[in-house]
Amino acid sequence: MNTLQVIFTTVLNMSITASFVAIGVIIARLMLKKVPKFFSYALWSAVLIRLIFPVSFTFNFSFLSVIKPGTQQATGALAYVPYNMGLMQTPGIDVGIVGINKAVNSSLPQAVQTASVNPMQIVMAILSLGWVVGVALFVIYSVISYLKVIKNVKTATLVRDEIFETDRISTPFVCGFIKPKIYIPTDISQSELPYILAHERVHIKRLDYLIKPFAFLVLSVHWFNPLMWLSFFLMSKDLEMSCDESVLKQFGDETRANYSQSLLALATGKRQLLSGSPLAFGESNTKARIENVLNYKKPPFWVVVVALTVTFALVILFTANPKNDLLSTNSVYSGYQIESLMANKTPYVGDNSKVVALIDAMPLPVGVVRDSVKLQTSNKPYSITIRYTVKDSEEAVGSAFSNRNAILILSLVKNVDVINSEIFYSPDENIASFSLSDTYTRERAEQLMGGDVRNYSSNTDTLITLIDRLNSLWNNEGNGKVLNENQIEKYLTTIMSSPQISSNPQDYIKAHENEYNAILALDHKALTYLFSEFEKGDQNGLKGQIMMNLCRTILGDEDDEDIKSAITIPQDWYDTYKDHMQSMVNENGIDWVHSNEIDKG
Amino acid sequence: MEQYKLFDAEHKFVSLIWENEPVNSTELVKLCLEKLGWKKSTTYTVLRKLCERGILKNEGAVVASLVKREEVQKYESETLIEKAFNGSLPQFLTAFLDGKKLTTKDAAALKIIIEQAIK
Repeated sequence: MNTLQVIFTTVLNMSITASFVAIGVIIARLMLKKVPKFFSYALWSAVLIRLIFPVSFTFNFSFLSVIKPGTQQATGALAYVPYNMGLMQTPGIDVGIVGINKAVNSSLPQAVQTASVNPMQIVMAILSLGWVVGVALFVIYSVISYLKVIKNVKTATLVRDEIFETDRISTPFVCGFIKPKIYIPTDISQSELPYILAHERVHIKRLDYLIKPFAFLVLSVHWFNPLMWLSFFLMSKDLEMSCDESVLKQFGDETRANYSQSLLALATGKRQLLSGSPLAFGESNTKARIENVLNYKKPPFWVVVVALTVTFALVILFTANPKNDLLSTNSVYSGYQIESLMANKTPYVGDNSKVVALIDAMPLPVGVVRDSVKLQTSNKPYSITIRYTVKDSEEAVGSAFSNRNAILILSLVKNVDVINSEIFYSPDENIASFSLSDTYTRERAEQLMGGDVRNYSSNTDTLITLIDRLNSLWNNEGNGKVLNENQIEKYLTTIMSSPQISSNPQDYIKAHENEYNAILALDHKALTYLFSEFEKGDQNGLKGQIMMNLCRTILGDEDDEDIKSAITIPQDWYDTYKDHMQSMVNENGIDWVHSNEIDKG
Repeated sequence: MEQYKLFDAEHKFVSLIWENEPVNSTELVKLCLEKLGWKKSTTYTVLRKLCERGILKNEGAVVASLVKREEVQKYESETLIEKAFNGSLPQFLTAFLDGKKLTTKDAAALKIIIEQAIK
């Protein structure tokens, strides 16, 4: 998935969250109808915040807990549309409303086994491209309209202070970003001028000349969302009305009639296309604004206090993310987010958001990240393929964690048959990247655990029992001694398995480079086991040859010249090496060897 | 005649020149900044446009008008009478004088103007 699609998915998720909030604001506006419009205007800040920030804080009370949005990621971002949408067998979204989920998900294309590309991936690519082109068009449109306005008022002449007049405009407005100026038509009547100037000065004082263009820029990014267009329109209306109210407060209620007269006189008549600039005095909404002006009464103090409190509380409510099980810390057991695991337990492997949530509720060793999750749900055996990527891990990473996770998934997802784990290593520039894969079928898991693993998922206690058992099976640390020994032995067996006709150990190593490199990646940790195998003696077969190759590669410079010389029989090499080390210890003491040579321990 | 049609800003600009001509262009820039709030570039753009239209001239950084104030006034009043009073001067005067009393001085001046116009 490329960056563009990641950004588009982020925008899409922000847009969906903002839509819920916008609906909330629209409802709240109805309740705040009687109080000054400033409060309605302030409420829109919640929508704006949701449109800009993909992540938010969590709070016990959130408007969104009513909707229960799909997945909340550990980063604090809400995801209705999963980031790996294009790679899913059965792509699907979860916006928290069953009807919409069904309608959207049924229209999404399923992956086709024979096709080289998942059709959903193509759809996502086209959509994100269309989105970015749309954003560009809206931005270009805004810039051109702004430049047109600038050109028109360039020759406006100074009246006084920051007020300029010109006969090229029909309605007064504020324009400019750094030093905003008020532009008025030359034919404006002197009786209207004081109101108009007062109105425009309120705009300047409130920084509306910055807020509105910014809001339009944000709208351009979310242009595909009709609810955001409605929000922008309503926000502009609230902004103008609260500005009108502020003027009335200055001049006193008795000016209401005159002020309405001015509004009417300057009504632009033609409805301007919604645009970020300029802030026109007579814009649209004249009728609603006149009604608002005529009905305006200075509110009593207590109303202002209550409205302020309510507005503040609502903005918090709208911008907070619901406290999610995923994020509560008290339910973590041995790195597993127990409550999240139980909450996302599912009978169907096709429920991708739950499956992904399950996987993400399981711990990963340091330096390992979960990459893609692919679901195969079109025909039996149903499978989940999880890809992990090892990035600059200090410790050698075994597959213990993926084994534990695989069995847990088999326990929590009722109808899944196979879990494939792919661990992709890219240790450093010296060692080529390679991947290891392992497959757990339900049968294999049942054999290992001695029964149906699904029984463990009936409640929290049994799940913890399962985790305990898994931890004892594979060392909790994920790269402990037992694990390494099992792992190395397994790799060696694989390497020795083919090609059987050859007697050259190099041919075997070449045929299984992945496994060979995996042992090398364990570095000195592998030596412990390899040496213990040599200790058993008589390692002169193929295994001995491979082990000698491994040891000498890992030891590198530490493999002394005199030992290297012409020794090709593995057991002889080891014995010579051991003697050499022993003599080093005798000569210089064990501490010297520890600091200068390898640690055999 | 169309060339005399001036926008509000242009009219103010040309008025400045009528009052101060001949004026050094550097001086004019200062004047425009003070009276019209214009930037240097705006002043030069408008100046260039009006020179192209034959209303002003800019020779050796000295700006002067090619069209007199009276000519522009003539054009403007004619356009107004044509547009609002169907080209009828009596209609215009009636509307202009509606309810107002002329001073004897103004009336005498008008009389001379009318007599000269008939000759």
